[in-house]
Amino acid sequence: MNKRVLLVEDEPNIVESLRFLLERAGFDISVETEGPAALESVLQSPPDVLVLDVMLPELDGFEVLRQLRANPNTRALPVLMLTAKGQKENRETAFEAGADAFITKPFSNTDIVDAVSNLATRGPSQT
Amino acid sequence: MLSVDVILAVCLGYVVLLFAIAFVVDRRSRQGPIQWLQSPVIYTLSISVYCTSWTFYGAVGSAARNGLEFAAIYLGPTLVFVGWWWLLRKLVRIAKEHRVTSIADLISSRYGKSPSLAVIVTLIAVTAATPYIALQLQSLTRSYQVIAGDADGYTTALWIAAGLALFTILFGTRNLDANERHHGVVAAIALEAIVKLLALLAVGIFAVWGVAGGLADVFADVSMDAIRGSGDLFGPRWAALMFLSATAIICLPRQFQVTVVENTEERHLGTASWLFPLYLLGMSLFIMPIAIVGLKVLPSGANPDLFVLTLPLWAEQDELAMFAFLGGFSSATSMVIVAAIAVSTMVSNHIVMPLVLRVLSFGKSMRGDVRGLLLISRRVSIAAILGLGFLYFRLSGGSDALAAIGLIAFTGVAQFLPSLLGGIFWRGATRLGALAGLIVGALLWAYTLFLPSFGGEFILSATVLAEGPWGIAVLRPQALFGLAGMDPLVHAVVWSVGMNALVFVTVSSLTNPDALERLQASLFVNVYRTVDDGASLEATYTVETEDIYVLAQQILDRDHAARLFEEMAAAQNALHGMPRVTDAVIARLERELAGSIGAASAHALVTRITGTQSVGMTELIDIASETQQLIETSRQLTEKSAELERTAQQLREVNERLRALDTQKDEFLSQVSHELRTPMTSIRSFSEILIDDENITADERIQFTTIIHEESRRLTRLLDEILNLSRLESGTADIPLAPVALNEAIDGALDSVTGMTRAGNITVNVSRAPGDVRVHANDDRLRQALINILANAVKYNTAPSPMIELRAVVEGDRAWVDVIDNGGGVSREEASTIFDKFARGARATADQGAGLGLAISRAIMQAMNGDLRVEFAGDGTSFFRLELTRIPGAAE
Amino acid sequence: MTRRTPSAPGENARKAHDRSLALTLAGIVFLMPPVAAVFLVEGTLAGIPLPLAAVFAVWIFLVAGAYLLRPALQAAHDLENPTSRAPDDD
Repeated sequence: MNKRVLLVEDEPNIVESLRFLLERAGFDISVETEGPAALESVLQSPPDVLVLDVMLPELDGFEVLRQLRANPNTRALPVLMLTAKGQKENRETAFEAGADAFITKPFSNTDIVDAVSNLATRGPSQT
Repeated sequence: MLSVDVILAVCLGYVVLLFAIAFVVDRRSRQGPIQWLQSPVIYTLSISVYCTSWTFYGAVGSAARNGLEFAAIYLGPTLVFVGWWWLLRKLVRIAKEHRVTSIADLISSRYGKSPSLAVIVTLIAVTAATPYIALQLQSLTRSYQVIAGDADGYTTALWIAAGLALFTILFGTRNLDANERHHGVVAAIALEAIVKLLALLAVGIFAVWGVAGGLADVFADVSMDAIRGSGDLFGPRWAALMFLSATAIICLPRQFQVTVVENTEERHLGTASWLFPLYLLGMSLFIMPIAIVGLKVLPSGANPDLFVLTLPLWAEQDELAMFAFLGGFSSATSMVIVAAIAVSTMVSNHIVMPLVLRVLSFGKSMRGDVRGLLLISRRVSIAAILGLGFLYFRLSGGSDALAAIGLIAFTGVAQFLPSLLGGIFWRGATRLGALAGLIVGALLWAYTLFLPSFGGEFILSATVLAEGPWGIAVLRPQALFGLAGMDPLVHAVVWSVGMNALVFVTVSSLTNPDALERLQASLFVNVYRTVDDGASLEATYTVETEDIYVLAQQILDRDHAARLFEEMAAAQNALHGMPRVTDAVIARLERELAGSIGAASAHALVTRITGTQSVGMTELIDIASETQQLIETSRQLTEKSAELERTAQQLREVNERLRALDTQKDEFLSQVSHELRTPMTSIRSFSEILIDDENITADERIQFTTIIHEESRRLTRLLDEILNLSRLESGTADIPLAPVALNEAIDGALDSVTGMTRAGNITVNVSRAPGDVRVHANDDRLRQALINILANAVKYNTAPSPMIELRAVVEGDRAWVDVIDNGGGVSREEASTIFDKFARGARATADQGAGLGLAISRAIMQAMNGDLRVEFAGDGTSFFRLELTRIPGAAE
Repeated sequence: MTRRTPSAPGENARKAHDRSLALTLAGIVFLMPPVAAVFLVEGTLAGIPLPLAAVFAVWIFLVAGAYLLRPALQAAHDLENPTSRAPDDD
């Protein structure tokens, strides 16, 4: 059974490229474009890996991640954060919020597929 | 017999000499102090103006009539000078410390600088001085008539008066500061003092040893009655004369002038204390013998008042007669000169100047003119006083009534005595007391002595004198309240001075002094008790706590003052009552006062009241103007500091804005980065897919390249917008303004969005501007902004039946285009950030632009002197409003 | 008047004050009624009628007294006003 990846991203073209790349790498992909919907989706059926964009309407990525980490059921969920901002603060905020990996847009296809694959094979983090 | 020519020549020579001395000394003294002029001997000689022609001629006349009585006139001053330590020294000290210019000034200054007191004292002084000056003119005229046989007395008197006026004006008003000595005058007076003494001694020696055969011969067959005179010697009249003369040596304006005002060193009083009595003794030495010899040898009926002159003439001693005449001339002229200076100072300072200043009080910048004005005022006063003297002489017809005028004047000025002595020895003396005493005394003096002296020819008729006004015998001027059978002089002295003193003391005890009076009282009475070498700090304050308490109450409010003094008493561990006056208390008080009246004034007041330093009127004026300046300066400073504060505030605001701009710039760059990275991400990702993956289908390749193309265009558009906005915001965008027809612009913009509205099935309602409204704008840019807003309204309208309303409103010189949609609008929080760049940030999608639309639109509107903002209608719904400047005059 | 501790010069100053007061009072007493009336007697002194002689005698006494007291009083004055002390002038 294929590992399931939930993409949370509001840019349709980026979603398109990521879906293509990750499906090709053998993942099942589901997509959400808004923070609250993503949270609901994760709680209902937790994916194996969550790819989370920072800049989201309604609820930004960091907040989504914080809420997930606060919930015992999703505390260990592997999360890869995507952001268009490359500043140091963002990286720190991401790790503080509990991200397992951090990739800056524009990304290299290999990097992102490798990162997702790593997280998928590692399984839920042991924190 | 002396020829008139010789007499005139000698007189003229003497006058020229006097002028020359005065001139030379005056000129010389301007280069620096003249040593011999500062000597106590000169000081003493100048005091001898006491000996007028009334002494020179009149003393012999008095001796011939009343025996030894004349001596009382010189014994009174002798006692005052012998006891200089107790009275004169204090007067001189006070006058020096308070820069007193006259007796009127001293009295008014003591009683809280009362102008009314000064005026009253001045009036009394003028009233007393005028007949006295007339008396001098009369003796001059008579002596001239005797020696020259010239009959026309008035012409002589007029010439003399004019000459004296000239001399006095020339040398008496050189400088304005009354504290500066009139050097020329003093030198001339000193010479005259010597001349008159020597002349009288010469005549006396001639009478005793030339006419008679020595002293024993003179007195050989003199009866006791001749010595006793008509009155009873050493009786009430003698006592009254002693009292009057002792008073006159202080209270006569001219004596006050030479003894007190013109004193340069207190030490000189020590010399004068024996030298002046000696001078008086010298003047008196041969009075009795001359009188006795004159009575013996001169034909009966000869006027004893001129024995000094007629005795040498009788003996055909022309040179001696000439010398005697010069002595008399000296006595009279020196008196007139000094009296004119003293009285004119009073008249000028206390009557003329206040009036002139009141009249001219509009001119604020007349500092320079005041000096000139003061000089003119002094000179006019001198001329007026001498003119008055001459007039009096002329009107009184040179009658014998003048002979008594010396004592009448003495009694007049004796009215100053209670206020003067009370003022410097009694702290309780008040202004009202002094005022009441002086007025009562002056009125009684006029009623009982001055007016009766006219013998029923002036105001009081002979009937009134004999029977009292309206026949009321009790009110007879010379037997007031039945006090008959008394010497008229004693009667007048008892009534006027007695009642004066009584009223003064009574009213003083019934009234309260105000703050300034208290202060001056303290300073005058305790004039010696100044800071005492810092030997004992607590003992140095002459002021009573009570006084500073009253002062504090005047300036602070009652409760505040009470609290302050309680605190200070508590600080000294005093269980009750007032604190002792210590440095700490004074310093504290000064600080408290400074809070109310400013530091300069507070300091001045406190130093004054504590007697640690005296401040003259000039200083007070300086302080006042300084205070004014301080107030002005502090007002300017306040303004300045307010200005500085404003500038600082502006700087802070600018700084704030710069900071905000800096933050905005960082945010902008970070957002630009984000906005650029988003399309770049897709482009990069898909191009990598296209490069790496050989298994992609043709459809997929077309789809991916389309996305790449689309995102590339988005990038370009974004960069264009950023550039555009940057230009608009920096003001470098070239937006030429021209009159634009508002309705045309609206229609143009609507045309551009027709495609969008049709696709979204959106209803558009338009209400155009009435008539041809033109606005200052750039046609293209205005359309761009309008299109932006309309597009915005189209894109975000999610209502089931979307509708847009476009409304043009004209009001005054403003024109508005409101864009309203039913898509829910924006909240008030959003309204404040909606124009920020990338405000829609995360929402921006490929087809929706980069979120710079509103920011650009607003920048465009502002570049056209308009604005773009979110407005809220009465029902809370929001709409966009584009504001423009309307061109007036266009048809409506 | 001041709280100086009595020292030699201060003592002299006070004495000078007292003597000056005594001299002045003597003048007043001898020259004013009723005491002055004792001079009203017949007789001459060196050819001068007694009242006249007496008055001038008192007068000379006063002048002499003032002359003699002057240095002490001026010293007292200088003591109280150290700054105003002048070199000497007469």
